[in-house]
Amino acid sequence: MPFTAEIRRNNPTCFLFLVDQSSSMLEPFAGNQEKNKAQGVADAINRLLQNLALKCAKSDGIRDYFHVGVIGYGGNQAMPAFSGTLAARSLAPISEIARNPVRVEQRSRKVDDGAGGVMEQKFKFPVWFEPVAKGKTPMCQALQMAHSTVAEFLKNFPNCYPPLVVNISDGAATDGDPEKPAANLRNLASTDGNLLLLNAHLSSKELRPIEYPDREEGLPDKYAQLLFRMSSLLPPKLLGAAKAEGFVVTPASRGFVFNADLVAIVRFLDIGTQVATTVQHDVQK
Amino acid sequence: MTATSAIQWRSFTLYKDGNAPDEYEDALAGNPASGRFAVADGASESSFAALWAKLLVEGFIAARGRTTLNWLLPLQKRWAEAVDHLELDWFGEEKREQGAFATFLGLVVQKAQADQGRWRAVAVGDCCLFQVRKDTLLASFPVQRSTDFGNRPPLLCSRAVAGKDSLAKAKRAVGKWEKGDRFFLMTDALAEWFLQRHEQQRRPWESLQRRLTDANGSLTAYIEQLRSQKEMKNDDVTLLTIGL
Repeated sequence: MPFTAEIRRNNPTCFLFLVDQSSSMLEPFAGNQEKNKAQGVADAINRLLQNLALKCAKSDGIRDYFHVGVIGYGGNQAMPAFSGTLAARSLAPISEIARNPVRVEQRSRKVDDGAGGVMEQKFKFPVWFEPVAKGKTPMCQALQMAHSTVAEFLKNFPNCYPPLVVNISDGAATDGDPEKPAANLRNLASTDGNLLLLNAHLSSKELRPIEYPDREEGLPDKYAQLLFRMSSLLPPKLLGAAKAEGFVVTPASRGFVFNADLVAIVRFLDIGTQVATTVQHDVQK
Repeated sequence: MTATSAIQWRSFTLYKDGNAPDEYEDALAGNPASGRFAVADGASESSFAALWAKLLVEGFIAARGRTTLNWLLPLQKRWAEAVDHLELDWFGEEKREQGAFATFLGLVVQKAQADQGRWRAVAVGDCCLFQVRKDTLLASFPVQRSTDFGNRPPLLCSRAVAGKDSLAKAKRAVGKWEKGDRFFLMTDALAEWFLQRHEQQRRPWESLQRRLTDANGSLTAYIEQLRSQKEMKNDDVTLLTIGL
């Protein structure tokens, strides 16, 4: 049965993010004039990296269950998007990423004080990505770069839990039809199953979020439909995990969300006994 | 191995394959004089879980009286005292704030007469207790079927806020024992295998007992074999057996 390989430090899996950094990302996010899509993307990617790192964090440090990379696409090209000490790296072990955010902000949040009240709690919030929005949307190039990056990883870890590629975009590619390179990418496989391509669609439209739909009819626009078609079917193991998380899914559900985030996908990955916590973002600076 | 004339008990532990020995996050404790025994399993996705598991079993052994969880609050305090002052990276701080999590099972064996008595057990999550009389599995607690194991069991949390909910998740069981009965307490990977074997009309307690008591320590090799044949999930293994 696919998606049953044990994720372990000597057999890690790979998590690659493709991040749309084109000028259309300056448009408002989900009808919110205060926040543009580029900020939505930066939030999404920072939260995903934070939750991936936390999933692997133990008292003695971070266990490298995941190798993680980020490819940004905007301007005229796609390229590795980490900055600082991670610059130009297409993949890095999660421990290195956790230790090298661009900055760590001090924020505060309100929490239950255990006695019926609420108290303010300070915490550190790591930031790897700032909002970027310029030029075109070379999504096909990003998908091709993802192909070569993951193919290289699979040479080293042919028996890994299938790699995951998460594309965060508004769907309007400017360098051709992304469906073909997306299909090529989904054809990559380890002995445990095919790569999973997931898409998070950020739209300017003020519409309710959609998570893991099972058909393209009814999706808000042609870009959402395109990204839906590019997305992998969720394999049975992940469908089970999604159900356990309270998502309504069917065997035809795909790894696609509209104006929603994919943080839950981190919880779908099994590295041992799970605790029901992910870090929420409804925090105050 | 520990033994007294009252209750004979033995234990066995094996860390998850691929991990270092000091990454073992289960815990066990027993006191044959008071008849109290416990196993716990620190959740892999939480930090300082081994410490929490150890505090839980030791706290249960030291507690008196019935199997309520009122011993939990001082343990949460001790956990916090041990970790709250540590200088940590952002991820360490966040995980510490979330608290450590563990499953737990505690057993109290009470003697009414020399050859019989009652037992009480309390469990949160999927650490299991099996009572075997001669060739029969008499009790299976709190999990009855091998298909009921998952990777999201109820957990006891070391932080008071989440800990309040844990109390509601505790399951309790009571029963009687007779001379010659055996109890097997174990963490989830071994317990799942145990129930699978039993469902196949086999007697897993015999395989375990025989290998646990032989001088060559063959239980380690046996579990490694079961793991490599995918008959047992790769996880920390803890076994505590009690002979009455």
